[in-house]
Amino acid sequence: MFETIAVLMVFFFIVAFGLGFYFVIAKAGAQKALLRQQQIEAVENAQRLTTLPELDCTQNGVQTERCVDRLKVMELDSMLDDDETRAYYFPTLGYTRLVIREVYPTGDEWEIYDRPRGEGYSWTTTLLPVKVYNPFSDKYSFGAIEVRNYE
Amino acid sequence: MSNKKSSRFFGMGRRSSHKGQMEIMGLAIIVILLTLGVLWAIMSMGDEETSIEEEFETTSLASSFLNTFLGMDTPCANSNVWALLRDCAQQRRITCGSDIDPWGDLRPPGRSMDSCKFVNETLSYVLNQTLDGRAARYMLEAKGSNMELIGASRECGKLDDQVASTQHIPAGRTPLLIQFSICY
Repeated sequence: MFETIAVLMVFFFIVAFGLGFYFVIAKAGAQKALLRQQQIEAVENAQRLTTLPELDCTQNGVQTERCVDRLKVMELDSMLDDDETRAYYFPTLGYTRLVIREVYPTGDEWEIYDRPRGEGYSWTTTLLPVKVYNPFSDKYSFGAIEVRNYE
Repeated sequence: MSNKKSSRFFGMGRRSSHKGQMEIMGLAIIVILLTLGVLWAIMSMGDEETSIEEEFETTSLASSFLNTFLGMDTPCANSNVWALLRDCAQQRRITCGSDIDPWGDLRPPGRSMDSCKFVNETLSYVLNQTLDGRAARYMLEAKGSNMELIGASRECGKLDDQVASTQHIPAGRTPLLIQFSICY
């Protein structure tokens, strides 16, 4: 009788230990999946931003890869000062901060859009080197798009 | 009488050894299950995946940095970096005037530089303003006829894991090979 109880106790102890272990691993897996989803969103955001028609360089209807038009950047920057326009762009840009810098030669910087989730949220920043095209001088300069993704 | 005793004794022995075997079997199964569980845990913990974001950034950084850098226009002789590198690999006819250098400082008069030095200075400025701030590890080198023309490196060795982007610029007999690698 005592032997049977001891065996059952050991058995249930092992089952409980196994279940606890399984739940810990499952929780870690769910957190990993959530992080992965956030990372995919960040990459999607970064890719979407580099191909926005509002920023891209087009010549004779042909889009230049990884290039932003300086005039379009300045225009979008002033457009997004308006709350209504910012709300219009929210479904496209989401909770991000978008900064475009002309690294060389001028060092100009435009903070196009910034919508944080709130206090206490973390973020990751993706940097994408792009050409900045000046249609007046017909010159390309070295620029970078910084996409901060609020997670 | 003695035969009866011994048969009872042997019978009990068989029963207890059978029970002992069952217990050992149970113990072995428990040990096997625990070992499998621990192994699975170790494997799932050690299996660190590369972040998608990091992978995307590394691969796109290498190619877009090189393409953007080669295609950008400079104040030197109204040429882009591509043309300056080509000149650097060949006759070095282009001389960049004594105007403002990439760091925004006025260069002393008379201290003009050739295309190679200008590209090198511009490259270090651009890298400083972009990748150095993000603590990225990289290596860039431009080689023409077994000679390194320009180069920049930050904590990145040839034996490290890296994502590389390569471009060739036609320059005389030997094309100029430019390779930009991001180490991770």
